[in-house]
Amino acid sequence: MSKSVVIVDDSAFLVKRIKEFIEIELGLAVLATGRDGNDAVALYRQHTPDLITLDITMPNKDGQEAMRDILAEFPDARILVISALRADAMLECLDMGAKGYVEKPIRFGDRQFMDDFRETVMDALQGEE
Amino acid sequence: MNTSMQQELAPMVGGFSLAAGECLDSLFDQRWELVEQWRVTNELQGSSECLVTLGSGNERFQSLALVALDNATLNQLIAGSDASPDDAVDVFGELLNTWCGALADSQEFKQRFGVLAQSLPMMYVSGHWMLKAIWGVQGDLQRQGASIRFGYAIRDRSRHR
Repeated sequence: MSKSVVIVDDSAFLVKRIKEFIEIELGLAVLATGRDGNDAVALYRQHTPDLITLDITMPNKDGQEAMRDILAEFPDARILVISALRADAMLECLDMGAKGYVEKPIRFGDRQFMDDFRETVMDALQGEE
Repeated sequence: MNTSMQQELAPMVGGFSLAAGECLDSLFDQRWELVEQWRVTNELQGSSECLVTLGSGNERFQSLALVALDNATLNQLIAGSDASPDDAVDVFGELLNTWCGALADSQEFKQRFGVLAQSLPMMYVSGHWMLKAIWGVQGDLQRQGASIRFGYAIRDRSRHR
């Protein structure tokens, strides 16, 4: 059975493209998608996916707050952050327990970038418990 | 009149345009070209059918990033038909989010302005827009006759109290 993923980003346009990549290129099952940190927490509780991807800058509740809430309730949650914020924000997320970090812009037309993206997703799914 | 902000932005102009091009190309899998010389100005302005803005700030600086385009370009990029305002905010808010993220990743930018927390995108429809008396960088990207204007204005709050 394929691993399951929930995608959360405030851009529906980007969610659609990430979903296509994860389903078609990686063969994973996207169970649900959300638009903000509140969706992220609710969808994680509802589906307990193998992986949840989170944007950081989102309305209502940002990705870091959502990550904190999810990890408090599900310490083994596998979270991949996909964000335009870099450097300090990236380190903070990894310190908090994210399994990986992908920098936006996602270069869908760049084979090397997408190979790295694929590897980051698979590492986040299959890394150390 | 030269100001310190004008002088500080001048060497960063190339970084603003390169980052805009990279973000736009990535979002749409298309190659957009810099056609108008990007420049520092204290009067960001243009006429457009769609303007999306994104504010950012920290304790010292406030900034406003914008993209402006016409409806034909909007529809061509997003939907191939009539894109809704929600679509426009969604897509071009994301573009601004990544552009600001790319700018903030520049050591030069970060050393000068620090980390600016982003607000949420806002869209305006149809008309002439102008942002006066705040220094910024403005320029266009074009592809097959379509044009998108980018602007980024920033001010030091301590000098405007």
